[in-house]
Amino acid sequence: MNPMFHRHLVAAYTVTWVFHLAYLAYVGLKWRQAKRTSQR
Amino acid sequence: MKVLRWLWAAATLAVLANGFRVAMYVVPADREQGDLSRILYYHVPSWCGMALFFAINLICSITYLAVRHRNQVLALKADALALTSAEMGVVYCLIGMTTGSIWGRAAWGIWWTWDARLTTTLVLWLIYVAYLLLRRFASGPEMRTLAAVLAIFGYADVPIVYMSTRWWRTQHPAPVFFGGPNSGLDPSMLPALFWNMAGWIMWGILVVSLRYMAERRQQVADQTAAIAALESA
Repeated sequence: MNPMFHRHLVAAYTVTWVFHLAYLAYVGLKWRQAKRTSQR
Repeated sequence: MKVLRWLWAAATLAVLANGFRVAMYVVPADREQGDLSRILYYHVPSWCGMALFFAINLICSITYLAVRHRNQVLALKADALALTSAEMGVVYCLIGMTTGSIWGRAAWGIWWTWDARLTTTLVLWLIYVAYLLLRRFASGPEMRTLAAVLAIFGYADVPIVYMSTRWWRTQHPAPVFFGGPNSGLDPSMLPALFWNMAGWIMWGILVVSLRYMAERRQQVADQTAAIAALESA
């Protein structure tokens, strides 16, 4: 069977990416905030 | 510098993509757990990332305390790196606990149990969340010093987490690496672990470098604003 159909495996891999991408979005927000503050 | 960062990002995504391919389709499934065992290739790199970034946080916290009166620029740089590595470590720790919980649900039938490994890990995560909350909500010149001291005490839980499966009998499996004569992974599984470990560490370095630059920019802006306020007073 294709491992991509194993729901626990897919859940674990998806959760990993979701958390990492959420933190990356937070970093992007901080980056923009810092850029705006330094331009003031 | 910008080109280097883009090259690093491209290399990271390539390594992660290959890591995914090897983990899913190249290495064989475990004889007992089948495809479920492939969670290992995302679960273990998360712990390695956590250990690496909490260690960086410890080194930076010690550096901050050591040089804060003599070299303020270096102290602020160390402080910025301490903050960013703690954030990254908390993310890795959360991922390690969540993927472990999913694995535990499928393998043991439970999401969570209060055994030594899981409990000490949860305490570790809470310590570093407390560190980040302190940095977020406390203010004044002593905040950085307090945070650095908390980080040094907090790191004491890292070796306890590592040794917990050796010191106590736990629901969590016995150590796979450096666990004695019958431990270790089958050599056929190692490439998947290697690629994913390399990929996620590279990812961590990339994200921490971006967050570090934002934090440094913020520090410089805050300093400039403080000087301007003093001059106008």
